[in-house]
Amino acid sequence: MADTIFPMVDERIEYEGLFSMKEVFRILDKYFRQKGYDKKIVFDEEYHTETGKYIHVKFTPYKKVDDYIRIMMRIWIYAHNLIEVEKELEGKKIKTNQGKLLMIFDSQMMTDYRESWSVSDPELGFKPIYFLIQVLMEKYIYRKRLAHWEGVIRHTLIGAKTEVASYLNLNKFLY
Amino acid sequence: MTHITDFSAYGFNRIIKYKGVFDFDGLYKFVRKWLTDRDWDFFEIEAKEKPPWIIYKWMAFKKITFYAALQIKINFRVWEPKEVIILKDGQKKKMMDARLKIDLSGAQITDYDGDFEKSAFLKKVETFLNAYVLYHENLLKYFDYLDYYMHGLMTEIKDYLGMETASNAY
Repeated sequence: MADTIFPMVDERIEYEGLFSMKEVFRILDKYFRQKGYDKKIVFDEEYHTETGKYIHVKFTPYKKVDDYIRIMMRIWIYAHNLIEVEKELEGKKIKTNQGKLLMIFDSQMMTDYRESWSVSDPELGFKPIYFLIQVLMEKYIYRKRLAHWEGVIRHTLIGAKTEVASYLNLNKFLY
Repeated sequence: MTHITDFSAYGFNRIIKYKGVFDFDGLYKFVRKWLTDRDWDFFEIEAKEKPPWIIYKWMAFKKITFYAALQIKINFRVWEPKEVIILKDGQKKKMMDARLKIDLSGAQITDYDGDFEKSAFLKKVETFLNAYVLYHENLLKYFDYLDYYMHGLMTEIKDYLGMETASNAY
């Protein structure tokens, strides 16, 4: 059976003010494309209410590193009370959005995602032995390789969060 | 043996939910034209108008090789539709104010003509082909092709509805 490791969970961005929802989504899309991830949008909801738009998107880019390891990010995007506003910037009028934005980032690494070590024969009962070999390999032989990919996942997730935070200008009070 | 690999069983279906004013007739024609322009055979499996729902189930089919074919299923479900007339570009236009759910799912069909079903030996040849020879081809040539096709279709539908997340870097 595949083992799932969660290197980073529940990283959040909360923002209220002016931003472009199209631009936020485009930044994430482009970032993961450049990193070589495959795209997967689980669902995409947009409701027009009296107080503005409500948007809920679950975006899960993933990457099959090799035939044993698969890495995946999960990003939930919630936008509340989103309205379209027109602002003047350097003499030009631009259309943007105003509202509340909440983004939750999560990551996971799945080993043996093809379940090639989970093959079991009920008569011969090889499964426990395969499981033992798999555990020993992951603990002692593959340890550095798994730690390397955990580091890659952390770096990618922080990078995605930083890209969005930079766009929303959330880093200005750090220094 | 004819085998259907339904990718929605692995979570690769896409769901779009929208609530607001939209042109349903225009959306219907737009999606149909998008598919037929790209040489997909189009079939309307179900069209049901049962208040408060309107349900449409479509299937698009395309033969890739003599062995493999691709299938896209599109399910439209509209809740509580109300006809509204809005002013757009100086002209009155009939639109629909409703909740809409679109479910896009894809599948890969191998040996759609049953050529490998003729004998037990051919079935074993097919198993060997799928497991070893065509394994990467199935993943890259068929699954990836269909997956990004459906991303494109999903983005076009969202763009037509004027959704904020209508963007695709792929």
